[in-house]
Amino acid sequence: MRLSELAERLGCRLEGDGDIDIVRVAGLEQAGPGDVTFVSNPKYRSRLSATRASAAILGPLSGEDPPAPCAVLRSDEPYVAFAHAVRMFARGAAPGRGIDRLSAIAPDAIIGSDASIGPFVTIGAGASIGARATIYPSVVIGAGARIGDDCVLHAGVSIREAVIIGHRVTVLDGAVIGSDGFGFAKQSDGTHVKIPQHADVVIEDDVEIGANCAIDRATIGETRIGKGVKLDNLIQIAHNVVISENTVIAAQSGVSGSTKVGKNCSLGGQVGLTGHIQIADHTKIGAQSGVGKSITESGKTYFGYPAREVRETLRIEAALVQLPALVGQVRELTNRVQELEKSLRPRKTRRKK
Amino acid sequence: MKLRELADRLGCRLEGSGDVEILRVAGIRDAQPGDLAFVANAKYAAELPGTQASAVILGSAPADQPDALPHCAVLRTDDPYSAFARALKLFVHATPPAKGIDRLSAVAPDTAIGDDVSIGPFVTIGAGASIGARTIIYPNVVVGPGASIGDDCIIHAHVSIRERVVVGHRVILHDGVVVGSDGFGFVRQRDGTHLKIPQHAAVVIEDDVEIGANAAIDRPPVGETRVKAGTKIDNLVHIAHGVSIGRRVLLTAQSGIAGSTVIEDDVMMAGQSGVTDHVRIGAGARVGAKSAVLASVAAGDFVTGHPAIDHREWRKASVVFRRLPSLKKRVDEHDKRIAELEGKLAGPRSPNR
Repeated sequence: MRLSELAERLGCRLEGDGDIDIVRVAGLEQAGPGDVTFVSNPKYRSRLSATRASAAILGPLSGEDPPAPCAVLRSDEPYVAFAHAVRMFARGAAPGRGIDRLSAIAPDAIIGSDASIGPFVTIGAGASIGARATIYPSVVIGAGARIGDDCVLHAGVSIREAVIIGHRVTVLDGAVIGSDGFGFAKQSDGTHVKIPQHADVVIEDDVEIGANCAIDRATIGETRIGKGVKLDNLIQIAHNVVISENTVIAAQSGVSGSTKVGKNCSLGGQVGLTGHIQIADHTKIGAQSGVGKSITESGKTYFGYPAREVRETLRIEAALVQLPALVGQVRELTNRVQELEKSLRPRKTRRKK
Repeated sequence: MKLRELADRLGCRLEGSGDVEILRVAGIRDAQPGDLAFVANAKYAAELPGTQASAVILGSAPADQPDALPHCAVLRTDDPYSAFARALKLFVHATPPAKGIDRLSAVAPDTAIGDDVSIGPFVTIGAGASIGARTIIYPNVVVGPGASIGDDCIIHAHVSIRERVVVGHRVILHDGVVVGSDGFGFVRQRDGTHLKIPQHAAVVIEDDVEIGANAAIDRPPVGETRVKAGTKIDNLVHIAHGVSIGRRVLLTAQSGIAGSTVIEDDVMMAGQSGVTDHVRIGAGARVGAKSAVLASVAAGDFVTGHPAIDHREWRKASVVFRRLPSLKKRVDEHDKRIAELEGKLAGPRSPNR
């Protein structure tokens, strides 16, 4: 693709020769002739001068930028432009159009036009798959499940019975959607009787779910992942949880039952949220935090175990580092106070004399 | 079903009209006329006066009495949660897959397959394996050579049961569970590389165990890994090689048990908690969410924290943590005042008295 065409499609301003042919998107250091690269993190600005790329996607001109040794695509949102560029040049490994003969599709399942369904895929009775969906090998879709248009389900994904998935949803390998919630009633003899979990799970449009995630279904009510939510790998979403629009959750985090996470939140890796709480919109939660109470005020950043507002946790952490020295200091002060007490006592007796 | 009959079948005391027709089971907030709801968690008692439900299951213990009763009929019982679980079983039925062995499965000729099993497409059952009566095996499950699965089990899609693993009766394994994968055992050699220690010993899952989606249970080099009867394991839990899990244990999502540790009967471990290797968690002990247990825990104890300590101590400590930054200031202040006192006392005299 000619650079001038790429600039137009990405909505970038072109600085330099628009006739260069671009064949690939590459990182600053790996890029060579024919590649377009990008800088969005100021940390990497200084490395720009050494790149061998034919073009670079850059943010608005700033005084700190070294001159680019190549053509420039100027963008207000260079990272977004980069994402679109990658999509244009990406080559997926999707199965071909049509239904592989080594698949097991129930006779009454509805398969949309131009869907690609790989080998060893099972689609249960009454399930429906939208147009242009891509189903990789060994995916299992339960009876009555509904998958929207333009979805991509990678290998080994399990979509359990009656789960509802919107349009343009991507589910990465091994994820399980609609497994039974962890619900048992303890009986007087100490054993646990299973509470059936048959309620709805709804995944709204434009959601991405990472590899080996587990999203549980509830007994009553529903489990819902809102529009545009992105989940990293190995995340646990318990029954009756609601994750609202555009929230992003990093790997190995877990959300316990009936908790509601607001819109546009971001959770770091290995975060844990307890059950039956609410997290306000635009909340940020730092990696490995454990949140045991609702967060009611929106737009705050929380961190730690138990999670507190980040400034407080950092003050505590700073104090914790000083704790051994503090213990030493208190011990020394105790000694000095004892010395003072000792030196005061004999003086009193002297005065009496 | 008439409420009177339902009360009878659930063993509840009826307060109100027994002639109401109950059609469904629903949550206290969403319930409509014709629905049976329940309150077992005090958090939801406030919803009672406003509920549209036709009947509500409530506890009979004095502690369970809500401030305001609902306007509908009430079913009283000592254990509302268990009664609710049994009510669900009366109203909600999962549709089991068709009986028989799918022609798109690969079942070795010398396997022993029980009566009335259901084996889905793309299931592989290895040489010498046995499957009990009425067991349901969903698509893409792999049962290794010599493995044995009991009666009335439900094995969901993509489960891997490795060679010679023994699974009891009425066991439920959710999608993506792996039982009998190699334990994480390596010997570091002088050149820094790690030599694999073969892991070929036994793994036993006893009767009435349930294991959540994408959980992994490893096999040891010698001895066995065992999960005893009635234990319930949530999603994404990791059980290392040589671990023994007692009866009626509850392990919540993303918790992990390191090698050779013994978890005794009736232990409860909350989400994202971890136990180190070669320790023992005594019967009935509890571990708080996200806690790291680094030493054995006595029977009946409740530990929390990182590292885990007595739960009450941890609660006190986590309150004190908040005061740490100001504590440093206070100690510094005392330091100054003591120095002043020392100065005053030493002032009129010579430094070496």
